[in-house]
Amino acid sequence: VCACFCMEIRGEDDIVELLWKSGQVVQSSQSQRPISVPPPILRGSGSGGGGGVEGNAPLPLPPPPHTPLLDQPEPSHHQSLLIQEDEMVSWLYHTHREDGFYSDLIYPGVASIPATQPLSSASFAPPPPVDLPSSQILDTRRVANFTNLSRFRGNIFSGGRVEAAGPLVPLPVVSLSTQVGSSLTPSSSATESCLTPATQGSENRSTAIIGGVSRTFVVPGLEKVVATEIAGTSSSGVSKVEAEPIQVQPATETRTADDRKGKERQETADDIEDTKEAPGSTSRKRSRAAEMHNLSERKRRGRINERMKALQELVPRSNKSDKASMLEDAIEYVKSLQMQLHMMSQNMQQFMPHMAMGMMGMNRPPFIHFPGIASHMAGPGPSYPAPPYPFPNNPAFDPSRLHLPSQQPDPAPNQPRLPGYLNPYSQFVGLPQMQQPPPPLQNQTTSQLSFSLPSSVKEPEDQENQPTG
Amino acid sequence: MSNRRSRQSSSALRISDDQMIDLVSKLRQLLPEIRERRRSDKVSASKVLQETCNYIRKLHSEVDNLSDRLSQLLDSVDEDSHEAAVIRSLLM
Repeated sequence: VCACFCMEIRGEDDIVELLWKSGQVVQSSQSQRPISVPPPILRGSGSGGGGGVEGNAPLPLPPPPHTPLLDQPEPSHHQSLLIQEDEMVSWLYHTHREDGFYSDLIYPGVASIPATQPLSSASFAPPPPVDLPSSQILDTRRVANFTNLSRFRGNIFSGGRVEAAGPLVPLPVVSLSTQVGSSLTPSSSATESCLTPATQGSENRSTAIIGGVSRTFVVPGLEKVVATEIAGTSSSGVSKVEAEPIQVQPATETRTADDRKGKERQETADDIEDTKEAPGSTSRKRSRAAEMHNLSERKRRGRINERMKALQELVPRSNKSDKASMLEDAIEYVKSLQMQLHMMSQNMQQFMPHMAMGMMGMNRPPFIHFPGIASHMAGPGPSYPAPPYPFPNNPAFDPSRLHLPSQQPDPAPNQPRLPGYLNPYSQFVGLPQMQQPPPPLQNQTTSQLSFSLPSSVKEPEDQENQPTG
Repeated sequence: MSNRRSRQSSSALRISDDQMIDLVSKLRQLLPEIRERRRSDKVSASKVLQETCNYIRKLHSEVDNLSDRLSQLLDSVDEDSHEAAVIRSLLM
C-alpha cells in the first residue's frame, strides 16, 4: 500500500501521501522531487488512482532532476512507471517471458496513452503522445525512466543492441520529443526544454532500448529455437518502425513473429555456422542478406553477450574476462552443481529411508573419508565433501558424462542401490586402490556398481547416466 | 561474406565461432531441456546461454533445498554417528 512509500517521503512530501491516498489531490506542491522518485519505483495497482501504491523495492531510479512534475495528481502514472521498472528488472533477469507478457506491456501502454498510463507506455514503447496535462511530469519521469532504463539496459544490452538501434534513434527521438513537446506546450517550456535534451540523450539509448526491448520481448516468447533470426527480424521490423515508433511496434512484433519462422533457418544457420545464404544469389540479394545479417548478427552478439554476463554473475569465482574461459568455468560449474546435487539427493535418500543403516551397511563411514578420497583422486573426481565448484582438491572434472539426472536414483533400500558414489567409496575407505584414475563407468550398471568395484568409484556420475532407477 | 565478422575479433569481445560452438555443445549436453530438443543442432548460442543460466538457478535452488533437508536430517541423527559425518560432508 502506499504506506511504504509515503512513509519514506513523508518528511519531504506530504504531497506524496496526498497523491497516493486520495488519488485526486492535486499536487500543487512543487516539491516534486520526491514524488518523482517514488512513482517510478512504486508498483501500484497499475491504473488505480487510489492509494494502491505499494512500497516497493529499492528505487533503481535516482530522483531525476526535473521541473514540476506534479501538476496533476496521477498516481496511476507513477504506478505504471514503477510497474515498468519492476517488470523490466524481472525481464532483465528472466528473459524468458512469454511474448504475450511483453505485448501487454507495450500495447496497453500504447493504447492508453491518453489514459492513465502514459508512463507505462513510455517505459516500454516510445511514449505515445502525451496529451495529459501531467505530461510534463510524465515526461520528466519518462526521461528519468529512460535514463534508468538506459543505465539498466545499457550495461546489459551490449553495444550490439544499441548500435543496432542506432539508426532508429533519430526518428523515435524526434517523435518523442515532438509528442512530448506538444503536450508540454501548454505546460512548461521549461520542462520541455529540460526534457528534450535529456530525452534526446536518453532517448538515444532508450529508443535503442525500446527497440531492443521490443525485439527482446518478442524474442523470448518466440524464442523457441533460435533467437537470432528473431532478433534479426525484429531489427528489420524495428527499422521500419522508425517512422512510427509507437503504433508500428505492435505491428512490427507481429510481423516479426511471422518473419521469424521464415528466416529462422537462414539466420540460424548463418549465425551459427557460416553465412550460407543462397550461395548463388544475386548481388542484390546478397547485399540485402548481408545487411540483414549485419543487423541480426549484431543483435545475436548482443544477446549472447547479455546472456554471458548473466551467466557470469551466476557462476561463482568468475573473474575471467575471457569469454571462452568464462564459458568453460560455467560448464564446470554446472557439472559440479549437478554432481553435488546428485550426491546430496542420493545420500538423503539413503538417510531418510534408512537412517539407521544407511550406508553403514557398508561397514564403512563412507563420507568421512571422502575428503581423503578426494585428495587421492588423481583424475577428475567429485570431491563431494568440498564445495564442488572450486574443487580444492580436484580440477574441474571434465566428465561430460556427468549428467545429473533430474530424477534421482531410486532410493532402493538395499545397498546395491546405493548411489555409485557411496558404495564404491565406502569400499575404498580402507582401500588405497581408489586412487586409480576414474575409468569411465559407462558400462557400470548402477546396481552392480554398488559394490563391485573400486575402479568404478571415480565415476559415480557415470552411473547416474544410467539411472539406477 | 557476412560471416567474416564472426571471426574477426578476439575472444574478449567475440569468441570465435568454433570456440563458441564447442562450448555451446558442451553446455547443451548438460542442459536437460536442450538435450532433448529435436533440433538440437539449431539451438542458438544465446538460447543455450539462457538455458544455462536458468539451469544454474534451478540447480542452486535445488542445492539449497537439499541443504535444508540435510540440515534437518543432521539434526535428527546422532551427532557422532556416521550419518552425521556424512551429512556434514555433504553440506560443506
